[in-house]
Amino acid sequence: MAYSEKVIDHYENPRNVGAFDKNDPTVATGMVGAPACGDVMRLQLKIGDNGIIEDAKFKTYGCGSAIASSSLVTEWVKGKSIDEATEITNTDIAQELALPPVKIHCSILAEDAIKAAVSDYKSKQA
Amino acid sequence: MTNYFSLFNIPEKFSIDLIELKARYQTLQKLTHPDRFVNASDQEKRMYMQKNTQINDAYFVLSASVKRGEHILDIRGFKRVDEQATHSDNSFLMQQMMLREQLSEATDEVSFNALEDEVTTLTNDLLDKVRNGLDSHNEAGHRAAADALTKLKFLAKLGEESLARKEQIL
Repeated sequence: MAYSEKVIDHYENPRNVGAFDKNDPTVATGMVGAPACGDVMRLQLKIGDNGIIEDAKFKTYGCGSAIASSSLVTEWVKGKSIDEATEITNTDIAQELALPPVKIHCSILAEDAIKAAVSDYKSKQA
Repeated sequence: MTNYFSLFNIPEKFSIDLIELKARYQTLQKLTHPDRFVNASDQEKRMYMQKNTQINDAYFVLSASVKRGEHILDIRGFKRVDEQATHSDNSFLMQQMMLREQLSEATDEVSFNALEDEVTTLTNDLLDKVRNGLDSHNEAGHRAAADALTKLKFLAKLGEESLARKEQIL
């Protein structure tokens, strides 16, 4: 299957790979997995006092599209509020990366990772 | 939907005798093989051809543990979540992440063996959960079995990747 140039770019030069301390109260961690392909994705957001995402890191074990989707998301969420971040949809991701239909679930995984991270943050703040 | 256990005339259980299954498959395969019906009418040929295909499908499903477990849930009318749905059991996923990291750092026989042992232990534990859940014949048991079947897919993938990396490195 042919990957788009953007997917290849993110795959070869993934942005923001790594981890923050998940026990840090300002860190939101989203863990998600796709049973169909066995991909595992961890997205972490570092959130400032004003509720703005200051930094983001990810680690994904999966195919090129899953890596590219999560790498792209770390770029997109920076500077957004957590509510704005949850407005990012899988369609936005799939369009930007020109994902073929069989790889749409990779973009869904990345969208779900944002939602999981935000809900982790909210439960930490509660 | 067709109950593949009835088709093979074996009890509808998660634990099955794979040797017996194979023997029954071979018998049924021969009985319905197209070569036996060269002189039959077109309608009969079609019928046996369909039967033969169904027997192959059934064997494919029953001989693989995850597919067999899913089939039992399906024939009991349990609604499984879509395979495309995101899995979000946090502690399980963290463990998966850790094992993938361990795999990416494995460079010698010892580290691969340790990882494979761990995958085997986790797999057997999940297979027990599937078996117990399905044997219970109740909703809670079916839910537990479905959850364990989903988790087994991640472990299967990990096992495949471990094998591929091992071949590449060792």
